[in-house]
Amino acid sequence: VLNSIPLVMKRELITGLRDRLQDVSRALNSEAASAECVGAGGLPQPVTVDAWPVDPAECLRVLMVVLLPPLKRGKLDSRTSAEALRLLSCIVEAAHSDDLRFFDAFNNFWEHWPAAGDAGSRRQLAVIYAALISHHLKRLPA
Amino acid sequence: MKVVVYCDTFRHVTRFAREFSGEANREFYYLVARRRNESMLTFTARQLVHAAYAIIVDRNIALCRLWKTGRLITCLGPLDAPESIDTVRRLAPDVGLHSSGVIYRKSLIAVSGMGILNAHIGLLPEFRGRSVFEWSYLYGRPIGVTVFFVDEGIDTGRRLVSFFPVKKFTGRVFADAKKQMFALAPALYRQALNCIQENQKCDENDVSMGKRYYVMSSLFLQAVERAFAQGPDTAANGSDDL
Repeated sequence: VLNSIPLVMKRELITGLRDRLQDVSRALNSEAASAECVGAGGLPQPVTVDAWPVDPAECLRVLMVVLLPPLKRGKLDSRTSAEALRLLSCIVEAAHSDDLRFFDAFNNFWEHWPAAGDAGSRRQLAVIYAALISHHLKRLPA
Repeated sequence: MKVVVYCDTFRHVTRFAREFSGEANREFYYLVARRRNESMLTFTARQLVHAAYAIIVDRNIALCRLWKTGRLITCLGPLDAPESIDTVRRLAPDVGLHSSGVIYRKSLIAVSGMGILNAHIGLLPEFRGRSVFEWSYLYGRPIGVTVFFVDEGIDTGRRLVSFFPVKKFTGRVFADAKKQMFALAPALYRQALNCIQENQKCDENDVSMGKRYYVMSSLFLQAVERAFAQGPDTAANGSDDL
């Protein structure tokens, strides 16, 4: 599917992804620095996906139809944001694929995830997201 | 052929009435219903604003003519309310046209003759759901409008009437191009009605051949907008139609 993306579009996607990777890296660095200040450095534990043997397409639907709208309105409570992170973890593998809908879910959630909210969950999202962006940056020019 | 157009506002009515004026062999009725969870006050205010806009800005007096001839029908309840269904049943249309921004219930589809047509700004069955114009453009796939009969799902209706490729846009602003796609709906419905009256066979919307898409992120959307700004045809290289 990536092969069907026109060159001009790939170029613009790469530009956008590079900028985004810088933003995410900056966020990670600043959060790491603040975590060191309080003596709680190190990466958070990754979410285990073994307990969620669900269809990635259904996870994507729930994320985009059920969880994204309240997130956009700033009304995602901590329990629901934990649920969103779990579902995002379920689609990580699919988000590495040519099907850019899954990767774009991460784009959407990053864009609306509250910067002032739970720092742990934002950092967790940033770690996964940065790896995903790097992955797609390597694949897009092909 | 009797056609009922399900409209969200009086302004939609005037847009369609303009396109369909002078149609000798088809009778068009326009049904405007209150949105679910919308108060009567909001509904009335919204329609008055749209009517004023249609008459003053668009200089379109079709509303008055339609009202006088009984072709403009206002339902005070939502489209799927029993009284709205009864109104449509009494009209006994051959086909319905979608311009109302709701997902239709089975009860309304059942009383709409052959069904309700929707103009979807993407190629079906490949692109279902939201932001399909953006996703089609990103993937370099054919750009255009698919007219199909709806069911209760999201772009899952089985009968596809036709895909109308769109070859040219005015300007290089992607949001404007999207508006131009939506504005094509009345003209494409007319063409679809011609296909139906000529007994053209419907293609099957095999949902297993496509995917449901969701609202596109700002990151991807901005990439699409920048690519489009460099010339609408530069990115859309996936089809011979373009």
